[in-house]
Amino acid sequence: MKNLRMKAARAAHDLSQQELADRVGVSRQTINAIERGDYNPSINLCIAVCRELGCTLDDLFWDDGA
Amino acid sequence: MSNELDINARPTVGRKNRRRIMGEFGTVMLWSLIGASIAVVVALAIKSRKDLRGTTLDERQLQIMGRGSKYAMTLMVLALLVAAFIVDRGGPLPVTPAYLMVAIACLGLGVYLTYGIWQGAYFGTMSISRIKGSLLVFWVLLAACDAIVGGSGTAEDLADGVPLGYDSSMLLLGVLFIYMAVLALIRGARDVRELEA
Repeated sequence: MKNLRMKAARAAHDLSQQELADRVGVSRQTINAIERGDYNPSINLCIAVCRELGCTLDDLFWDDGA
Repeated sequence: MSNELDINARPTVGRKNRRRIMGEFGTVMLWSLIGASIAVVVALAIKSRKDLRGTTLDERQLQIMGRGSKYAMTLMVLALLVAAFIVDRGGPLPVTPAYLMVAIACLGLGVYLTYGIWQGAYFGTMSISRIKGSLLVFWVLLAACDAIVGGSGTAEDLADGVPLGYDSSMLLLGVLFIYMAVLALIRGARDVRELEA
């Protein structure tokens, strides 16, 4: 399932996938895979992404089924 | 039969001699090119020390490379079992067991690297292409070395009608390195397309 919320939050911060990847210390392909829903990140990576994007884990990664 | 000396006759070099000369030439070329490759890589690495911190794999890449090594290992074990059966039970083969072993190693390496490169997991987290570029140069130089040694070995073996041996198998490694370089370039082009999209 695509993670459109993370993509939207990244776009809101005017960050490219590469810039976000550099900030959290992963490859651009990993950020791309998370946004496409092809990879489930570890909790540490989720927290790092949330910190960079100024969001909570719930904001970006909790699927409330809506 | 005349015993007169034919002054127009061209000096001949026996096959064995030619193989020895080609072998020596190949060895010199091989070590020169390996030396040059290492020098290029070291120079580029020193020039771009800052980029070296990006050479570690991230969590997704580690996962993928682990999965790739599992696939490669499984395939190599199966290939070795089949090869052992063929060597033991089969008739005369067009290749020596040494060639077969190198071919199986190339198969495993090919699977591992194809999976890693194609999934974007081979080059670490760096974004700068200097290390990537120097690795590509290194691969191409290694491929050239292997092609020189393996190409001459293969040509000699084919001409002599003997089974392809270890010398010839170097050509396989050369082909593998070229394949890796091409695959990495194609994957890079795909990355660029993804970025533009």
